[in-house]
Amino acid sequence: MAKETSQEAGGTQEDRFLKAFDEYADALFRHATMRLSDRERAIELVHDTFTKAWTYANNGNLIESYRPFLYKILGNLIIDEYRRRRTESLDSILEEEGMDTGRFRDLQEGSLEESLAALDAKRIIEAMEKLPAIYKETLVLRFVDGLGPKEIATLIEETENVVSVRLNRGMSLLREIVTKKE
Amino acid sequence: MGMLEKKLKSELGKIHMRASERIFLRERLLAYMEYHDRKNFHASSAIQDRVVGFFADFYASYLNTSQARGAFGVVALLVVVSIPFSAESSVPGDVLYPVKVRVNEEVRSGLTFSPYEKVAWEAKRAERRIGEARVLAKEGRLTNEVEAELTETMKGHVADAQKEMAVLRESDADGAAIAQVAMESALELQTAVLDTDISTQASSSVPGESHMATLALAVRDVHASLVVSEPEVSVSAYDRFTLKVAESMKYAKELESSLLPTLTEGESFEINRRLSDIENTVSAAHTLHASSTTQGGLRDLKAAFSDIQKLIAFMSDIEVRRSVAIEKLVPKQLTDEDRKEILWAAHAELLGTVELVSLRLASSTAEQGVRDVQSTTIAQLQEQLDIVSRQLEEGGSLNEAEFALNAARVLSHTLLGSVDQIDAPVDEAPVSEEATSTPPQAL
Repeated sequence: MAKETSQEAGGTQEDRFLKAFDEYADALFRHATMRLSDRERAIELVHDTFTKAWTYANNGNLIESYRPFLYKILGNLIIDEYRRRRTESLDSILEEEGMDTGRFRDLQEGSLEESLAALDAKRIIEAMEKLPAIYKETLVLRFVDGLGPKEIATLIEETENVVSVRLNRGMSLLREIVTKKE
Repeated sequence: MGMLEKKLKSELGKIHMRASERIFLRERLLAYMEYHDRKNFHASSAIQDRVVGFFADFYASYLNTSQARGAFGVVALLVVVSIPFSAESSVPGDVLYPVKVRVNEEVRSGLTFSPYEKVAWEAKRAERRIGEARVLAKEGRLTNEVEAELTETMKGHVADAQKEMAVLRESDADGAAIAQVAMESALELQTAVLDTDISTQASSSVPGESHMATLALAVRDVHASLVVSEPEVSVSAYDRFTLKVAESMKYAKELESSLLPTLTEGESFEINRRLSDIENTVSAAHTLHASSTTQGGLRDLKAAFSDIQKLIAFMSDIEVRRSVAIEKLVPKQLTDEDRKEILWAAHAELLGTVELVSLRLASSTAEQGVRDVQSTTIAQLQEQLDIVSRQLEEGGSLNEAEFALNAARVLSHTLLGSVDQIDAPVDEAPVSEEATSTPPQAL
């Protein structure tokens, strides 16, 4: 049979949408708060994410999987927010850091992750706020949202190698920030 | 789950919405869903038509019967006006939107009598369409279809304004010129706002979501068509514009005073700087007018009027203030000190180019002809830079210094464009395969 209808998938379009809200609203809020360091603004962006998703669905489009769709919308809204704030230039960061790719490593057993894990969790979270946007995004998706490198790559439209490089560099920077404070 | 994730989990668990925030957010979403429910779309179209028909009939009968002018008519009007009043903030897709465009705006059109008022009103209608597109885009509701519709409607309003301007021109050429400058300013402002909106938007993840590129292009096009068709003016145009500029300037200053508590120090400084610049422009225009032909200084007055219109729009519309920088709308005029600073900086940069290319030329093995051309260009460039520095050091003419700098820039561009030639070897004999395998001869 072809793809299941929204009815078969678990109720009406409204039911699926509200179920997605109940399931993902908090995770999206956490993601937005970590990236923006502003809970009030994070709530507004979560609201805007869901309204955009509803508009899309309400125009007759089927959303097969809400999770990546919602994260994608939220990610774009966060980029808009950065541009509005003009605190960091994503493009200039991209230019400075370059797009050179490295070999993909399994970070689960990386020594970098182990050394970070030895540090205070609260300090790590505070330090993440100081990271440049491009690394913060990848680290938040990995360790806050629990997404794998492949899922992150799809979401941010980069290769897995680029994701790996950003994760490693992000964690190196994180370690520098945290150990400098100490 | 990795070590780091485990460690972070309990801390991250503390970051969540409060129960009240979550409930409130859900309620807001439910209200949004109810309001934008597609199932009711066709029903609301029928409702829209009935509502529009009712108001159209009411206003037609109100305007035609003397009874309606009595107390009863006033009360009924007050009751009925509240709904059209609510319609004013509606956008395409809203139930009351047809009331806004087919009733409210048509009634207002009927109440504009002079061609000048008609031009101003059609320009305002065009701005309203653009504003609606921006609101929809912000809410993620602007589809390509809706954008196309709003673009066509906007172009229609501008075309109507141009027709009215043509009528106005017959009886009042100067009034038509004033109306045209006002309309051009409004379109320039909208172009700046749309450009900023487009540049600050990330790529859409929602297919079919528009980013106003079509609308922005259309606004540019209609603005360009206005600019091309500059109307002729009478001998009294200068005085008319002077009066208009004075009125607008007075209004702008009063507006700035009233907004003072809400403006930041920086904003207030920038606005006052522009007002002061505009006054300088007007003053220069008067000086030119006094010493030249009857239309001398008119161009500067038109520019001053345009800048004041944009400044007024900037001050009175908080959305415009949030969207676009004042420098983009009304660039500040450079003082002599500003100009000198820019000239010295450019002079230093071009001097660096001269030194760089001279060094390369000194060690070049290129053909004599090529090196001679480069040397000549360097000498010409140096000559222009000497003029710049002389004018600056001796307190001479900044205009002459800027003219010399522009010439220097052109020469520098030519120099840098051909700099690779002076690094080319004199004889570039082709290397054969045999040669590469032959060991070098001992000398």
